[in-house]
Amino acid sequence: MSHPQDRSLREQARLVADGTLAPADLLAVTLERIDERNGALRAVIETFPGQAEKALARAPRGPLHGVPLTVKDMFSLPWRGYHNGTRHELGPRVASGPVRRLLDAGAVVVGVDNQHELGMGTTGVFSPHGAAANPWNVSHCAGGSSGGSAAGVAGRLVAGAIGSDSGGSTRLPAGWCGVVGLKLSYRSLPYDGYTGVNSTLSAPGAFARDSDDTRLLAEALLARELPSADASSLTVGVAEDPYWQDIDPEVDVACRAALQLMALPVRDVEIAYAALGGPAGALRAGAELGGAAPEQVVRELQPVTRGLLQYVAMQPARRLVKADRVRARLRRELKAAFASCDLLAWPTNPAPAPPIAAPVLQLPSGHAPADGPNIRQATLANLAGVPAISLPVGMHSSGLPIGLQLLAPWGHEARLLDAVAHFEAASAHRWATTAPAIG
Amino acid sequence: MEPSYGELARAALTLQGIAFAEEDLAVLELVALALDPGLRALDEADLGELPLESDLDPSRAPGEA
Repeated sequence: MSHPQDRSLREQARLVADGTLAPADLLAVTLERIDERNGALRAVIETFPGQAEKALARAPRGPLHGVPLTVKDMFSLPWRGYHNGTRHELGPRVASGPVRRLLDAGAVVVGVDNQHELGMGTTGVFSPHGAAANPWNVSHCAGGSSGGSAAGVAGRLVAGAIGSDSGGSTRLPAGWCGVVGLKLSYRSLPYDGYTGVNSTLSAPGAFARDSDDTRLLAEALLARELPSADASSLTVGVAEDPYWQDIDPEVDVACRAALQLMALPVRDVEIAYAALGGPAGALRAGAELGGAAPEQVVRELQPVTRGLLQYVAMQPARRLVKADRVRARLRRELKAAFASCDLLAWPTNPAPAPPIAAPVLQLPSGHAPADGPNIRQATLANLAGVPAISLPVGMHSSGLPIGLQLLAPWGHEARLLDAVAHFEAASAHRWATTAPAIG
Repeated sequence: MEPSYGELARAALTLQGIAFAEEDLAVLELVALALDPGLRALDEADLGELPLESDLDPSRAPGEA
């Protein structure tokens, strides 16, 4: 039998359920796999062999019974409060709401994933544990802020992981690492014990290698079924301005080819004021993500992260009010757009993952620090609260993955998963089954 | 003579009681170079008659209970 972590999440669950694979053995080989591969990836910052064994003994016979998962450092566990990408335990030692949902489904949390410090970046380069590396080229960024979660799934350390998304932090690293990343609808599950509890932007996210595994994880998180349906008649809205502008040419071609391959009805849509979404989202995210960090934590941050916190703290209140007016307008615009289409689509990332040593994107307009262009692509879903997903749709000539992003109306996670399944079938599951060479 | 960015930032941070080190100011200036243009665009945007509405609950579509 191939290594269990080269199998899908649902296969692991099935093998455990039918007795073919002992869950204790699955746990042991998963911890071995993390030990073997994590040195190059820095995806996982801590594993819990003892607690995982105890949790396994208590795990209910749910749909994820005995399946090992990892979670981002933004979710508290009963034995470890979240650190949020710092060296300090900032959260309470409790099973956070999203973790409770996983445990209720029978999953076993084996480790905590690396992330950008305080979640305040889309590259992952600033972390006290070193930057999470992209499994397709370990000198390149995995992304952020949930970079470790994406890298761990792409590198087949685990078949599923939980991240979060305040400005693309699930979708952006999923796009760069070539996995599926689903940002859930805002407040669609309990937020206690999660750094996002006081955020108006944050939502947990699910990472897996394909739509079926992502559906399984999302069903556990949402504690409801997400029945699959035929996606062949869904209408896709394409908002050229600004989301298809200043995009790496190969990324543009791959994303348009993916839409063509899906053969869904496509229509142009206009989202007024969308260009202001980036600054509005960045301002609010900056204020929400780091605003409560204790002074000692702030002192120990990388200078750029501390500079971001100080910059946001200096902003006049009128700017936040203006940002919220933009947000109100964008929410209305998005609701209007969904009256004429079922999904919206544009590239997840404007360019493939940059080097860790120089996290700058090469765009048609020139070189740019990654956060601004990345947040422009991602923040609309956070400002509005809708679910959104990144799916792998191709490979750049640099050897790095390309992701396409889809957005759906509030609560319609199933529609996103149906669309991804539709693409996977049309592409003969090519990108969902292609794995990087590691170890 | 116009104050430098560092002098302005030092004054703003001090007035607001935000802890900083002198070496933070150069980084802060770089952050401002990256983010100021977007925020200025936000300042200058004409949003027409759109009020700051109370319906900002991101868990549902605007106007839906």
